[in-house]
Amino acid sequence: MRDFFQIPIPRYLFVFALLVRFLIMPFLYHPDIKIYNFQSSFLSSGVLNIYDFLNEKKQELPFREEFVYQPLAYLFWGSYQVLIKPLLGSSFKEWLWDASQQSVENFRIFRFIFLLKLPLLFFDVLTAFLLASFFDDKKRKSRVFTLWLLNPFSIFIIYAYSGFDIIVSFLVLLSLYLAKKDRLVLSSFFLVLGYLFKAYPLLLLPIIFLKVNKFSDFLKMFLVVLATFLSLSYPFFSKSFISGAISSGLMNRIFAPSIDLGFGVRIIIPFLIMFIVYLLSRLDKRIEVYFFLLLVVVLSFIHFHIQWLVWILPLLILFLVKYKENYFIAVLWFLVMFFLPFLYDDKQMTVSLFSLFSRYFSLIPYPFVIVQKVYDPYYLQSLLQTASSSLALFLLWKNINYIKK
Amino acid sequence: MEKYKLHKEVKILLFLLSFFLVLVFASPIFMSLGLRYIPYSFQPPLFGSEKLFNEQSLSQEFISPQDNLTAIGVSIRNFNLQSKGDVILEVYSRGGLIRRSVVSGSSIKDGDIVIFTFDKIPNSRSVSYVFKLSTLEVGKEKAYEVYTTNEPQDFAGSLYINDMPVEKPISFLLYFAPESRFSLIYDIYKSWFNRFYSDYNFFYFFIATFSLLAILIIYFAKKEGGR
Repeated sequence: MRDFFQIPIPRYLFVFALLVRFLIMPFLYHPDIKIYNFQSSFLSSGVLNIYDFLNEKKQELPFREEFVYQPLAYLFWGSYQVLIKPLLGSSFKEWLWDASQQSVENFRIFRFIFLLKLPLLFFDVLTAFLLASFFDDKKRKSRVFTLWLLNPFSIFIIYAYSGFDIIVSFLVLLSLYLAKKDRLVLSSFFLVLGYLFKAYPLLLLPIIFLKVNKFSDFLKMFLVVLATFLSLSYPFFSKSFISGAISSGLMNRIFAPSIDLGFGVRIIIPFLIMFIVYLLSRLDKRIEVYFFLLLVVVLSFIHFHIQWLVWILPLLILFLVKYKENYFIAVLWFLVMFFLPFLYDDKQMTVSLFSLFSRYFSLIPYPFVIVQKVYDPYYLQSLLQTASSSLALFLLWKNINYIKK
Repeated sequence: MEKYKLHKEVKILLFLLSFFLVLVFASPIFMSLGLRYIPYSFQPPLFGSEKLFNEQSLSQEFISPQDNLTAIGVSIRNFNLQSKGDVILEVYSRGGLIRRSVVSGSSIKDGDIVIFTFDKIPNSRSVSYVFKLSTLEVGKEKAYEVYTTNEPQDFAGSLYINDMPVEKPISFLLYFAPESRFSLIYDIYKSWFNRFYSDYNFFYFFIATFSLLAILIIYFAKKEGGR
């Protein structure tokens, strides 16, 4: 444990990385953090099945969105709010229920946002230590640690958009770490734990399963996965749970890009490529490459949320430090993916993030509107998405060549 | 710990990170350049609506609370984006048309605030105006709905539908051109600081932690060095 928390870079750089995070945490704001905390706040009122509750009370609530995350997300944020209740103060509930424009001017909003982002900081820093523990030599430990803590992209995505994807990314990384140590059962447990926050680790589970050679191990792993999934999901099973957590977000988008074969049958493109990645992973020991490639191809072929790039960032950094050959292509792919969502027709991707400085900023024309004056922004988005898909396929092809060698 | 030489990659990252920090905290300066108008108040709560179509126009009275009136915002319902016809806003003063603005229906998202901009009216403070909303191309079956309110601002007067007064006025926003860029930037920083300071317990915690981290950076940098 002591080795795990050893800082492989000068401490002033580490503290500087903390300082940057600390400085921006209370001031950048995306409404998602309020929505999922509003929904999770019902745990302290004794509501367990949030999916049914929101469905029944929809008309009475200021925010009518479904709870689109998995049950553990609800339990985690609901419990965290109970834990920090004395620090939040009594006006927190009032702010959560305020759906008006004035809510960004609540006099305690900086405190709320800061405290609600603290778990993100915890898992963000923990991710840096975990990344370092993938390496034995000091040089690469230091490089991976620096690349994670000092890159502005991860800081911006984690603290500006405020999704809790970093928690899931950490669990996925932990699962990968254990898989590398051949502790596959424990690895699959952490993947399912990640899945119980957000759905995407489920896509990675087949890679772990395909590493098992003995049927008894396979069975043991299957039982662990099933037991973990059922123990935390069973109390929530209902029609609303299926429509909210299972059939929304990523899962809907992943089914969208397809080739129509007629007669109502389609070939789903992300799945087609995913199956290729699964089969390739069976031929190769480098699990981290397949975790990375799978998410690269999936995100490149769907309409994604910028927060989802946090799924890839730790794996990308691991990939960059371990395999120097594809450095340029991988970085280029990430940059295309990073800038693409700024062109979405959604001011919350850009100008509204600064609404805690001034609510007037939501009036500023955002990139989509600016581009619209001179060019079709959807066409530009399509061009960038095509570029990222080509780069993703190129990375996959390079990997096939690596296996051939 | 041995002297640590900053790798080129780390130097680039430190530069990017510092640039990012500056960008975040200087954002009010850059972003205020894109602010052509600022709202006078918050939009009153929405309560009910009135139909807007080719045979029914809506005229709303108001007294401008400031100089430099340059835009008016109203919330419009365009269910399933079914109507594409232009919506026209005309501003009248003493019975005469003084400003006109047109917004295409294809850009009106259901329930969004639609902002009609026009050349600023310099001496608008305390002057009575009427803004008239009309559409020529949309029939009754695909009518827009303009949201009204039951809690109007004190500067809002009566609403007239085809010149007949109705009970609830439109829920609207008035926008004014800023007096100068400098004063706007100053006001934004001042308001931000005041709001941050108003939760003074958190403010002092934040400053104390920031100072502690800054001192630690200096202390470790001196101790461990870096080139």
